[in-house]
Amino acid sequence: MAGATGTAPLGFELANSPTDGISALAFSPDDPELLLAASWDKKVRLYDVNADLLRSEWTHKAAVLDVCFSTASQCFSVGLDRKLKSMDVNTSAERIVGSHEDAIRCVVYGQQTGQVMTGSWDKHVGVWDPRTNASLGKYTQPEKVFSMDVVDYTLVVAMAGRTIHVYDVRNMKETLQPRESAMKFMTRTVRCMPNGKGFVTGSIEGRVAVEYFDPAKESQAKKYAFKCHRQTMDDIEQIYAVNAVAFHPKFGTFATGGSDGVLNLWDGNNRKRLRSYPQYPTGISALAFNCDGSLLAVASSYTFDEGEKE
Amino acid sequence: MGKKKRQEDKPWCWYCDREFDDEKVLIDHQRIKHFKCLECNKKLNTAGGMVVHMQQVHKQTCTTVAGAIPGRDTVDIEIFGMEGIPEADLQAHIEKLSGGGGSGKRKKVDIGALTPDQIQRQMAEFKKQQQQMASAPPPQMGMHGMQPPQAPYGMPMQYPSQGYPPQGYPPQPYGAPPQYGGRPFMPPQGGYPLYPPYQQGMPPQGYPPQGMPPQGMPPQGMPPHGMPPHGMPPQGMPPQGMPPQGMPSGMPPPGMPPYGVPPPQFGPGPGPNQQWPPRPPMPFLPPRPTPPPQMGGTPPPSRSPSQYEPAPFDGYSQPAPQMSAPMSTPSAPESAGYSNGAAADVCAAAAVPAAPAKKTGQLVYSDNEISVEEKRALHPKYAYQESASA
Repeated sequence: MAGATGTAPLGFELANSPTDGISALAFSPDDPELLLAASWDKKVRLYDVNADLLRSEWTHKAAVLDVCFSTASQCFSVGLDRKLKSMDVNTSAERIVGSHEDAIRCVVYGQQTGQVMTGSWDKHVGVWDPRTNASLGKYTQPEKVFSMDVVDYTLVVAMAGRTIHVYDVRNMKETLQPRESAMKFMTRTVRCMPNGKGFVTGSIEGRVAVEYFDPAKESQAKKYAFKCHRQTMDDIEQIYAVNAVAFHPKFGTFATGGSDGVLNLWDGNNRKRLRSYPQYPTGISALAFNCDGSLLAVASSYTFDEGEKE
Repeated sequence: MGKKKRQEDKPWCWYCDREFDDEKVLIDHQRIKHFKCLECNKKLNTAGGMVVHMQQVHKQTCTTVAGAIPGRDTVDIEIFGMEGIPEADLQAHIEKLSGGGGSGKRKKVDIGALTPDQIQRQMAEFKKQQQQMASAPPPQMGMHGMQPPQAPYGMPMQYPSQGYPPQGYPPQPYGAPPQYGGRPFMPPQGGYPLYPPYQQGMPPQGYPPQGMPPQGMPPQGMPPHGMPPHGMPPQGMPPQGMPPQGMPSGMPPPGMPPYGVPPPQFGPGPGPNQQWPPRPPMPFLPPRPTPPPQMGGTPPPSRSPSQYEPAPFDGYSQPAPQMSAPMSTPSAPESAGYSNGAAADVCAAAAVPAAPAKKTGQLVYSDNEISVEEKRALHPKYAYQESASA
């Protein structure tokens, strides 16, 4: 169960992998073999995983930071060029849907509402209608947006300053739940549970928090955080960032990838680690399960934690 | 220990006095923390299993259980989960729970109470000893061999001054400050081949505090229980020895086991005593019978009473790390060279702070305000000119 880009000790490596760091991965919502990869080399690539084929490639003006599918034939990318772009999987046609004042860090597609949502370093969340290219509104956030995810009608926005806002996408004017991260350090990534009950965040301090939407006390009492992605070298514990979290679409278990290059599988409900995979040669920057849960794409590329290298 | 209120029926680990929500977790805990082979990390189910495994696979003798609190590190008791815990300890545990449960905590605090200063001091003492030992011929008496680790427990050291205070025994299984008899009791030379196991505790008195090797000394001062060679009751005075003055005429005190038998009624629970016999020989082979000759090499003859002061301390705090010190950390050359318990103690003491030191973590990416992507975006390679946009 592992497709991979980058050199992988497990699974297989895709040919024609990006020439710079991979910033995001996304599988098609209904084709288990279509994988999108966004890279700092300014390109978005579409792979047919089983055939190990590079199906299409889009070149942008700047590094691409995130990608997502809406339908099996349409996908979106955002990046340092501050534009939200729509790309047609079949025709390779691309067009600009909208833009932000600063780089756009993340993009998600709300299946329920058919809207695309973008989170930017300009401290706004944008909502877009992909069919008409119309902006449906921009909502000011207290901080730069670092990561977002949506499940059903719930949108979770993770920002700088350990701020996490939970929205109902039908009413973006009101913040459903303004929260503070359960962890003491910057949130790196957020992903919602497929069952819509909660979300998982990863921080730069080798820690993962599992939280629940339900504001009831019993539910909130279940939230927890745990340490991972750490290595002890010469008696000093090296603490790596948790760069990526991906939920298995069926089992509700999740995978985490850290800058240490370790991929872990967790059972969040039972608070157990299911598996730890052998270390990848460099950090894991992105993870994605495909729609039937049979493949996990792992992007192993340096995430600039220690500045420019080479 | 847990966040939840203590429940009396919660399973707990005899070795480290920790409670668990269910027995499965307890068993896992024991396998990982206490029954893991120091060589190959294989996890066994019981202490006995671990001993046999290490004996057969690695040809090593394991005499202590890793991670156990002092007095509970014996491999002689076969414990699996909650099974096999000595009845007395079970009772004590229940009592502790019902009676406020403070004692367990206090013990813990004691364990942690070894400050770096103390460790340094012990280390210094140890080095001093070694130097002294290097210059003085090591005592070759059987007795010495068995003793060192016991010293911390302190109990036996009381005899000399008080004869046989049976009363003194049980109440203070550990930590009774060692009281040196006014006179040094010299173990007779030539050695008794076999000492009753529980004699191990004695040597401290047996040694002149000044650190004189016993060889030249007349046996007059023999400690009472040192006398019965081969487990003979004191009445049968060894020919060479004279009973110390205060000694009750050879009667085993009430409640005292016959010599040569590990005294089960010692101390409040089986904990302290059981651990004794196995402990001393730690780095070596089987617990009691004949003390390996080398062991005699290092014992405390050179310790002065004042030097002993911290002993009860390390006795407390070390046992757990100690067992791992000689076996799992060959990197501590001192412990390899000197197999004596004191040496191991000191080395272990040094190891104690090392563990917490690991806690100092270092974030690989530590900027809590600006994300890596933002920094990376500033790099000229990724610079984006608005004007160039389509």
